[in-house]
Amino acid sequence: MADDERTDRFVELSRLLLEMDDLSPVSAAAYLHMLDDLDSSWPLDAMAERLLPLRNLPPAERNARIVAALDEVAAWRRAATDLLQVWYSGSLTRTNGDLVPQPPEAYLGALVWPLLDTQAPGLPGPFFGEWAYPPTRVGSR
Amino acid sequence: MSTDDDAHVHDVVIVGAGLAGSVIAAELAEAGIGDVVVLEAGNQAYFDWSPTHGPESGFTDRRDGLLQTYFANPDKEDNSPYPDLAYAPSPMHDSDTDYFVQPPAGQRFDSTYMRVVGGTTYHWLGIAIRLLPHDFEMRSRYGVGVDWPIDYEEIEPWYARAEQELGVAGDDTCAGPAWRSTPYPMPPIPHSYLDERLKEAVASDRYDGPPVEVTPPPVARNSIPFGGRPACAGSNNCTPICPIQAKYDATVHLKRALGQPDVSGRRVARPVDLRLGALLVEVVADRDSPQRIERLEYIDVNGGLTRRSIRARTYVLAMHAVESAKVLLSSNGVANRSGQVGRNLMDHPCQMTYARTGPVHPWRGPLVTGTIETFRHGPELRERAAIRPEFQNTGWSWSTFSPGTTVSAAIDDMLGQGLIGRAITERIADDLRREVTIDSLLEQLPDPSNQVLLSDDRDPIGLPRPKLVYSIDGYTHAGGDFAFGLARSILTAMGADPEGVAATATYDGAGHLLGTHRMGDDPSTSVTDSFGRCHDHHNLRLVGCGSFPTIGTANPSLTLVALALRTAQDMITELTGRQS
Repeated sequence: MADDERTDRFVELSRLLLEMDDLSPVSAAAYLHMLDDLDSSWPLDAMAERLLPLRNLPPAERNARIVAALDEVAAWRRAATDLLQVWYSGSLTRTNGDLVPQPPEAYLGALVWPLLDTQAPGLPGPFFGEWAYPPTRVGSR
Repeated sequence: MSTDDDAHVHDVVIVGAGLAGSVIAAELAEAGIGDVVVLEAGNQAYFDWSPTHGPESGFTDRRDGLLQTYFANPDKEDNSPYPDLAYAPSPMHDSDTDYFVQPPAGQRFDSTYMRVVGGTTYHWLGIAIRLLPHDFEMRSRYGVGVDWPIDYEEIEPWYARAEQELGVAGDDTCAGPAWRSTPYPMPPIPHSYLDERLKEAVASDRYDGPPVEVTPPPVARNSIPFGGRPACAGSNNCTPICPIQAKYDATVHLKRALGQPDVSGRRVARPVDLRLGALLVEVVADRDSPQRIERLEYIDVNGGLTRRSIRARTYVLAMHAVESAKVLLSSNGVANRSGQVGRNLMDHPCQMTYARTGPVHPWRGPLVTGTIETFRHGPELRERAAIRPEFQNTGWSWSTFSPGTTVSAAIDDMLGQGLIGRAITERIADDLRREVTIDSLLEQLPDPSNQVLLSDDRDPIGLPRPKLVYSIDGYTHAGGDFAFGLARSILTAMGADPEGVAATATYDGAGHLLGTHRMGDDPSTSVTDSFGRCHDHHNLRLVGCGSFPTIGTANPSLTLVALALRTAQDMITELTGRQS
């Protein structure tokens, strides 16, 4: 499968597990690369084949069947946890404690920053004194 | 056998282009002192500069590469954006055994520094706070520690100058016992939303006597455009790097020393000569007149690791507390008749207390915008350490710059409950926006057994690695216990479940490395006088945090600069007197 197709499939699987439609393809490519680095047999295809057909179910039933599927296969539970971890934090840790190498966009694109109505450390702005006020967009995702 | 790369004797050689070295270099250059050479272990300046272009270099700040390094480094910590030099390693939080030699268990010395052009001010927090009058008289007032050879009245004018030099934003109404002769150069940095919730929760509260007052700490961070640098833009946050240099770093003074015009277009009288990749290895005393230093020996990294020597009328070691001590201990007893070189290593152990309260919306703005200053003094200091609580605007993720631990805990918990998707997102957001950390800096007293020694282990180019012997005594632990009680009362007032208030089992380091070549009046118990001049060698000055006899509860950089300015003035008087 071509890289672009594989990334597209990863985006679809991520949308399902995160329940978010607006996912950056740049971040997706970075995170898939990191997951492959973490585990060369990271089960994208198998999970996508099993879970993507659940997309059109009502949310409660869909999520219950996703979790049931993850519970059936131990490796999938781990794989889903890693997928969620890398999307939210931009970081992955190997079982020996070492950190998986990451491109710059992994940290910058982590979902925790917009969740907190902020941006990754190292980026300039937004403006002087912004920190004194309650955020305006927190939890908007 | 070393190579003499200079036939003549320079006026001054400064070793270290960090905060103390850069400030002194700028002062000497401003005063027109003949030829001043700055040796620096780092091999690259992160601004436009070349030794061949001198004052015409341009000096445009170039921290873009540092930011890219930071973003791509999976290990997010204080030193992440900066190079760890193969020939001159810096200690790291996660791999400190790679450089410091320490026992594998127990209380470890947990602070870092950087061996780069500009020094550790690149990643510092920026708090620029004065010691209090009693901090200079701990033995006389409280019967613990030692007294300084100078008092607050002597250093106050130098604090005022230091605040102008760094550009400090502060609240003139919050001076407390540290009386002021001048206003702060800039108005204070506003409190964070978290600080305001704290103030509401503890309004009019007292704890064991003193009021629990939340005030904005003075910081070397621009609240208005100052010194040609912009006002803070609220970047999240300025450690380990401020992306726009609204926070002061030592390159401000280094560039000035090299000939960068100031905002009015004025240049120093005599720019200094900066030599990069120069690693000091030995200070050599004159064989016939041992009270005089004859030369410095250094490794020229850019010259095939050649060992070279350099001579001057006056030498200044400004390499940070551990590196200066390491070199002196490698120098056949230089400066160490007292036996105090390397001893009295101190830090501010950090008592960290965590809880979740109502929403405080962290991860916005500077790292610390609120502190409590009222527990820094009082008769209790006879029995326990003074404390100074700071409120972290980064949730529970102090010094890691990523809330990954909270994220992983939430994912595991929610999947365990059979929930996925938006439920996890909401849980992560709710957890993160309620996280509060109170970090109380604890005073640590000088203890000669806490020290820097030379290890038999060698660094990558064969120099001894620093072996650190370090422990925390009952006086400081008593302060830590008090700090936890105070923090728990504050967090509970903010709505935290008392059962959910937790503290770390050991103390973190504050990054304040102090005390390894302390000043004093008595040559038998101290290494230098109050001007940094070695008791044993009239032409050798030791500057920086290693000079502090005691450390109070103030982040040390402002005091370091005040002392450096005072030393520079003394050197100018001495050098111009000889020249005239």
